[in-house]
Amino acid sequence: MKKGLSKVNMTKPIAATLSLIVWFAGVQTTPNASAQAPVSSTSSAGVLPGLQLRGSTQTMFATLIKEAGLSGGAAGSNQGCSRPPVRDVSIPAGTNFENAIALVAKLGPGSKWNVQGGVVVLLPDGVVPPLLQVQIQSFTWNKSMPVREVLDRIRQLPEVTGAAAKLGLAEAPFEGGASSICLRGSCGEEARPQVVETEQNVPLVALLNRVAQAHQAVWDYSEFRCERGILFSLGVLAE
Amino acid sequence: MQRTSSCRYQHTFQLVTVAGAPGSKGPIIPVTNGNVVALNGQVIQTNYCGVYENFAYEILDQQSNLLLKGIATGTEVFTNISVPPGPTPKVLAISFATQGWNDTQAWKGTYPQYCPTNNDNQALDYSMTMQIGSAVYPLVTIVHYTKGNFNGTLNVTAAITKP
Repeated sequence: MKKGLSKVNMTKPIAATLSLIVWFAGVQTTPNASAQAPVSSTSSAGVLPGLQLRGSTQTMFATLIKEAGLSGGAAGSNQGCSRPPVRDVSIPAGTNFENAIALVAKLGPGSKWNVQGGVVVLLPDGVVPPLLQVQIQSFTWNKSMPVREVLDRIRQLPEVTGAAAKLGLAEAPFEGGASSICLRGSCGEEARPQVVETEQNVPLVALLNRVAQAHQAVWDYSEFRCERGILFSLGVLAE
Repeated sequence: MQRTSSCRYQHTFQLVTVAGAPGSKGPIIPVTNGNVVALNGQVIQTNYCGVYENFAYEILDQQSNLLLKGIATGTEVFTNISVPPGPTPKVLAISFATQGWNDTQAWKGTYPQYCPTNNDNQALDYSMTMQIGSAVYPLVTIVHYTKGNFNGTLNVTAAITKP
């Protein structure tokens, strides 16, 4: 870690306050059904049905977040040049959301989760990676703008590119992505309100959380140690 | 491919024609300092340098009929990646009655530092798992993609290799 970007451990104070919410008994609920559901500070009776999950720690985490109608972020630091392995997890019926997230988090080496301003965040060793600690002077964005475009613009902020260069991080190749598309009938897509927000003097991780919350999305930050150097990617895991 | 449920799920996915992707595939688009745009018109990358192509897919049942009921959470699966680390697998909600999904395949990065050099390219296999109800099902279809610079030419190819 470079000087000037100190570690921030946010696990302890926040984890204790976390508790959630509603878990939808049917996983086939409309994903946006609880867009306004708060992260409560009291225990919830909401429990999961038995659930099979498959994927990396990050994708299973994102699946749980989306199924619960929440927003989140996942940061990962890979010791090699490949994505985390795909695993299978069985979540017993009756497990509550917090325990399900904890079960998935345990699969990632050192992964810990917490809640920051209503956003569920997965961090390597509970520590915000140095690039995500960089202070953003000012960022203005329109909430109607697609979340992937917003994150792309954040990634290209001079504070971010400058800090990446100082930290010896190079951009991982951009390889595209998937999104659902409307093929028939009405898909119920509503135009988002034109609301312009300006964030000032916030750490990058806080900015990502605000954007994720506005879009009910899950951001992704990953580092890879490759022969050609340390690569990073910053994008959207789920929206 | 392993199955993780007691039920076999021999569902597949197929390319589907949509606006912007006649014959299910959009045009191959070389870009020098421009945008990558998904089929729904959303900009997903700016100041981009490289090549990309959009594909549209929908899910079929065991009898190769369109699946028109239910909601799933799909997760992309990438294997046999020639140049790691490979793409970030996306998680997306799909309502089968009305929706399929757009997969954008791109290679490479921000202009001008990360433009693809000669024979700088990627190959990988693409599939999906579907979380439906309490179970997760890997789909049996696999698409082999290649993308990037091939002897000075920017190109993207897609071939369904399984089933």
